[in-house]
Amino acid sequence: MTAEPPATEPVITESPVLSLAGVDVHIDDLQLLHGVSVRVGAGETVGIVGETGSGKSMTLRAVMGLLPPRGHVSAGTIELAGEPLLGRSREQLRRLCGKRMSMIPQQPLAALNPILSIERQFRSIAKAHGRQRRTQTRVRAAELLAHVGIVDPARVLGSHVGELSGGLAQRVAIAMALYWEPQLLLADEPTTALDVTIQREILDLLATLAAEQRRGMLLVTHDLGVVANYCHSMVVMKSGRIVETGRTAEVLAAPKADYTRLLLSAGAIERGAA
Amino acid sequence: MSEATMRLDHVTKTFRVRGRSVRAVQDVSLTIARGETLGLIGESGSGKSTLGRIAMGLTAPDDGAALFEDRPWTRSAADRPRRKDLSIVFQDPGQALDPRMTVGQSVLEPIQVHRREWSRRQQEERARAALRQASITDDLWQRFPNQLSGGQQQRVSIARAVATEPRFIVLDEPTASLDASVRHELLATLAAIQAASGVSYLLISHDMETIAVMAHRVAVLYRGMIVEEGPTARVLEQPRHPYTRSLISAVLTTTVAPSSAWLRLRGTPTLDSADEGCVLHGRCPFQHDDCRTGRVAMRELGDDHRTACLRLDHIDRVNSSAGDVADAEEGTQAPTGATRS
Amino acid sequence: MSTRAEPDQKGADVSTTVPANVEPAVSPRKLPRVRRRAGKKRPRTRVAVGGSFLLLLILASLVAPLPYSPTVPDPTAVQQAPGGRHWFGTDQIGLDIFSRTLSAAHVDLLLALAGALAAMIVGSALGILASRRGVLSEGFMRVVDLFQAFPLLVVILTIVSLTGGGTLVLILTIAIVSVPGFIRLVRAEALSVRESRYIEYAEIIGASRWRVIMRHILPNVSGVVIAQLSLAAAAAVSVLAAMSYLGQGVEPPTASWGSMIESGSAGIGTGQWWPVVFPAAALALSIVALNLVADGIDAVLSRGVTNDR
Repeated sequence: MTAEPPATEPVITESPVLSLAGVDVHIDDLQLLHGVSVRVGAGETVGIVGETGSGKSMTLRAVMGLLPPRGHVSAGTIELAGEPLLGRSREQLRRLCGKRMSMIPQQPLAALNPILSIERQFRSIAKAHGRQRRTQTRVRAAELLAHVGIVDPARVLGSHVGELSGGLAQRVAIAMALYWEPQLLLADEPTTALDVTIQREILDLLATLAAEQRRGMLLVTHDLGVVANYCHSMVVMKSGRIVETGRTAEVLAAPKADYTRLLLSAGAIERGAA
Repeated sequence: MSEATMRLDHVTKTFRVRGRSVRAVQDVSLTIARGETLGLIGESGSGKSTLGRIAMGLTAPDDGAALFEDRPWTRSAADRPRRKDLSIVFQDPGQALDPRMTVGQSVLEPIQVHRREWSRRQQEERARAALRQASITDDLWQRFPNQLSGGQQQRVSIARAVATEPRFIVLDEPTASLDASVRHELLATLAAIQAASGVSYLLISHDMETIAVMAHRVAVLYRGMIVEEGPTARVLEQPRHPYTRSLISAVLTTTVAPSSAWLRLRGTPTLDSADEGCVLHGRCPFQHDDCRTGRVAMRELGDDHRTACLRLDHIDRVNSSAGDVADAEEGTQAPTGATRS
Repeated sequence: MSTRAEPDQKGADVSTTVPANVEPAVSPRKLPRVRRRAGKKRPRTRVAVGGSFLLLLILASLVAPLPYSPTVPDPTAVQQAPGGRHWFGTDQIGLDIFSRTLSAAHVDLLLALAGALAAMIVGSALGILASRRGVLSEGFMRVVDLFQAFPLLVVILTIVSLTGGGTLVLILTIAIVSVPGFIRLVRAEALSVRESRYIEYAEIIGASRWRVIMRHILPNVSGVVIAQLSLAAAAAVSVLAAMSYLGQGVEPPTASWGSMIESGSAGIGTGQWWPVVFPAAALALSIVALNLVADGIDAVLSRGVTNDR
């Protein structure tokens, strides 16, 4: 028995929201990624799975233009809705990040600034990509917070990270990521730091948000359970290479690569005969 | 001498946080037999860590007692030699090992503390034996923690924990920071150590898979109270308490689609401790007026399985009429030789 | 049913020596290693350059033959500009500036280092003691605050005038003014070390307080302490100069940079720059060298305890 795919089916359009083709990444002589190709369509959630050192996070960082010092994309193309991302200046990338694509942090409690109020941080997001009146920002932020399921937006806006739980902080971080209505959401292990029930709530929320605006989402995780339940298609990575890719249900039902089978057997241990 | 290695007897601990009193642990009674693994599950803030500290005699309970081999912990120096009989493995081995100590020095440390009468050679021999028990080659002896992989670091932690041949080890999320393939190797090592030495484990984890593989019995903690306790297979396959059901059905797997089966609780847990009624009141989908004020006692379900819920009969009726949702798919395995070897 | 990982996985886990070299992919956790290797600034070089400059200076000052006596003036060569006979010139009573500048090096630097060393030992002990939580350590820190609130020169002058000077008093003075810095730094470091899991572990297995301090806290604060030692010595060199300038430092006729600057400063207005500029340059270079060493040690230690070998 395999997992049911997420309820909403994405429409794979001619031009995907995100497309990586044959991407190599080097740091000096060390090659970190070998010909990585990933497509994320509108309304589609793609999961990248792999273990520590598989290059799954590096792929995400290549998209964001946040490679480590001296790291660079040495071959291939990365396109956001048909526009090339490579070769852009840092300033141009900065304009894109947070506006047309947004990152959802792994550890929201650490990612949010501890000394600024939530409202103040919304204001800096607003300012980063345009001019807005304070009241306008506040109204928009409160709307977004309510939209991500926060019961008392006004109180949360006035508070600091230290006063929030992990789940609440992640909701806030998601609301911030949505501020400029990005077409693409990037999430690196967005729920590893959270309890299982909170993880479910956050993932349900992300799935809803992606579906309602037909956003593309690239989800990096080590957890096959997350992929099985929330991703339309999946990419399995090992040592900087893609070892298998395809529709989630198909890959899980009949994994072709040995490594995928290994991951599956490791993940299904308590379920007995998987 | 009874068979119980660790016994918590009606333990209660209250902390004061910003002027409010928060009940971290409330009237918890648990027993861990010799050679047994008790899994402790619950979400952050449920009091798992406090309970672990109480069991190790680091935190004194306000009420009740923690008895290690039938003797309570005291603050006196006379208790210090007893500490060689227990140990701990922490979640993040990178932080649990002193960055300035080599592998050898780390594993030697508990031996040096408790076996001062031994010669240096005897101490080293014991440390190397401990490394072998943890399946780590002793050519790593001179390495520093940051020269090791996460899995190797955790094995060093395990070697350090077994160095004094303790009879009780707290495993505090021992595999949470490791990859799945490494995780299973590590759990197998821990199980082998237990089989060989008869050590008892208190396994604190939020990972149901680790619990399923390792634990003989499971206790579920919610806001400092045990809401359900029983043999691992019983609790994971047929959870009875609404909280346990919610927790277990929330786990995402590759083989079932639990989105339809997830028993979702309302709201979020609060820190306020209600003095009466059920701890889950306010969040439970099955709650009734009784739950707000009634006295909730542990109810025996047979086979050493018990839970603290006033609405069990009602829930059973609902489930049998609507067709059970959560239980059917939750197949699990008890720790057997086959899975643990 | 396969519940266990494949055997080769186990092999990879146990036998891997330096994980980053085995897999081409590098996890974020291991990135600093790469960045280190690629880093432009070389902290070890900084330590080497600063350290060898100081060592050479002190050695030269102790054993190198000086062209003239640093303490016996030559009345026939007064106020000579730098030139072939007197490389750095002479002062108003005919003392050779080069000889004096060089001979002052060991006086100033050794005094500074000795004072800083004393401060390090006392400050580390007090800092670690004060890192235990409690009313007593809080109270102690307020006393340190109070002490640091006094102007430095007032403290120095008070000590010197109460005790009357001398080498030992100079060392003591330097130690006293540098000790609060050590206490503060060591305490802060020790507080964070005490929060760590390995200290908790030591507590669980019943290790004594003494063992926790000697085996865990001390080794883990030693890095910043050594860096602070160089900084304190650098500060001490200028304190010595200031004291000499005020006439409370090294006793004449022994040369010290501070006293040379003091006695030479009168001539600056009449165009005699050399009696001041050379000792001042030596002073500045020494402080830079000490800071280089401190900076380098700090950088080496902060990028991993036992970095790439």
